[in-house]
Amino acid sequence: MPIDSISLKGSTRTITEFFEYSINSILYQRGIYPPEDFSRVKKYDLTLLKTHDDELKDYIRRILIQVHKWLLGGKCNKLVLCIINKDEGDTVERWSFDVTHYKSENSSEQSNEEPESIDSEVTKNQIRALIRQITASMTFLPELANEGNYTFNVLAYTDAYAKVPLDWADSDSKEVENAEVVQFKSFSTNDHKVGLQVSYRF
Amino acid sequence: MDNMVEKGVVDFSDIEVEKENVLPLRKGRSAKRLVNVLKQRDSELEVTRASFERRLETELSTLDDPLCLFLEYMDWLHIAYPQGGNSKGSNMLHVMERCLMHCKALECYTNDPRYLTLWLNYIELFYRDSYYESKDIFVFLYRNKIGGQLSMFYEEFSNLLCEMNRYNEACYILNDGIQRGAAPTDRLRSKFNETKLQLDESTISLPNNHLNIFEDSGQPTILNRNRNDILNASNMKIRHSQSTTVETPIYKDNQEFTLTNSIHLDAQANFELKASRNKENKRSVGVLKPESNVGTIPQFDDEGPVTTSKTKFIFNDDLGRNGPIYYINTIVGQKSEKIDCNIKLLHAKTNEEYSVEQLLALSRNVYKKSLKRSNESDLAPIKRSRINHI
Repeated sequence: MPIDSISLKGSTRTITEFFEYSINSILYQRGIYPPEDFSRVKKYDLTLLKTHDDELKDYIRRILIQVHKWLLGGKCNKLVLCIINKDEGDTVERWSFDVTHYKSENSSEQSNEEPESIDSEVTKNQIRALIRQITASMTFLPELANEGNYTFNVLAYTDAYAKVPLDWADSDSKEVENAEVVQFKSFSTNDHKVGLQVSYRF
Repeated sequence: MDNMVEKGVVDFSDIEVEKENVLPLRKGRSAKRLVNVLKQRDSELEVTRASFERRLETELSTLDDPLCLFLEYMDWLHIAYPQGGNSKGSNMLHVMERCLMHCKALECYTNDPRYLTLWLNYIELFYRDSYYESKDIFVFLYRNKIGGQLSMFYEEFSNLLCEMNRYNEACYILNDGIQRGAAPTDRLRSKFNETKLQLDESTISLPNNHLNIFEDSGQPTILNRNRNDILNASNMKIRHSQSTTVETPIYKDNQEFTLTNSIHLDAQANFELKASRNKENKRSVGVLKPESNVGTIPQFDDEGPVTTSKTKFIFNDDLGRNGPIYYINTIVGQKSEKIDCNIKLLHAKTNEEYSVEQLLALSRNVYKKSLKRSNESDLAPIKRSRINHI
């Protein structure tokens, strides 16, 4: 099905791109990296902040290239951004992006509830609403004291048979203990649905 | 992972509509409780508030740790009023000040970190916009030795002074804290060294011989003119006008406020609550309730002659001296006439007139004649009529 494969590529690209901007937004909003490291860019009709620190940019790109490959093969169903306290090594916040593949190869039932084709403009609006929510979530999230004392990790939940490159290692789920969980909006493309929830310690 | 969903995940959409009404707290907010509070009605809040107030009334004198009850109350206020302590409804200011005043009398709280933190929160919440008022409160705490054994106090105080670019005084305060053995000493020492470094840096940038120039430029200006300009200008003026023999001395306040001198003064200074500090800045206005009719607002019409009884007096410094009042008589077709006499006094009301003597009697409150209408009043503006003297 050549048409589908094109749509799948486009959909995956949309998602990877969204990951890039949302990870950047979260890193900026939560003060993981100093604000000087970020510059404004226009995206989704919003002004977003994106890092111009080469090392960080390269790191995020390396992650996303691999995630893109997994998504394309339908091997990845969750991407998690963990904010980790450098001193104690415990996770203080966990931003979890759930990816649902509408056209799963192994389950034919899911194709029954497959939605009608979604206009890219609708997807864009949904993404915009979701990014706005990320920004607005600062109203209840705690201030991360001791700026510069945090780092982040990206976890990818993949299929057991997925090919994993050497620079990715196995990890535990890095849950936040006694967390509050908030569910954000989601967005859909023709092939995927992406949801986001944050768990944080209060 | 899936069991998290069962645990009750909060949907952000419930919070999003109220996001502007939620003040971010440093320690964050519980999303679950936030959603509950946003759904709650005012009456329910009042019930909880009343129960706290009742507990304060009945239990306060019996408690070992009254601060605890206050803190519980204030924590609840923080959650119940997500708009923040500054919002009108929360009444946070009142509760906080009551707590601060109540616990001030109790010696056990003098070096209680919780009590000091409360003071610091109070400053941050209500005096954030004024360095000087914040400083006053710190000085008050210092004099009353509240938190005198806690490094936190000296650190916060010096932070404020550093923000005010008073590194010298900040160093003095930190050093003082070290002398008094405030704990933890190590943290205080490293803070002291850090500030000392800042102090050194700030003085290096100004070479000594240029110091005066910088100081002058930092002086306040009056109507965009520097103090020295004004000084010079007034000197010039005096030189020009030869008549003045004595130069008016201009006093200059050389003595700037120095913290190090004043901080030890009057230890028993009373602390003024925010409401009384700002009393001059507020007009006492009755609260307008929505949907209530205020009635007609009195309108002042400019018609009719202004009578002396109605006009409001404007008091000048030259007491009792009014400027001369002229009557301008306009006749159509002719040049208007200026009469050096306040004719309005003579014709206080239409169809009535007074003579000068009558006015004198009136002003002395001895005029008792039932007024007779004069027929010729229209012809002669000033006419003598009978006066009764007592």
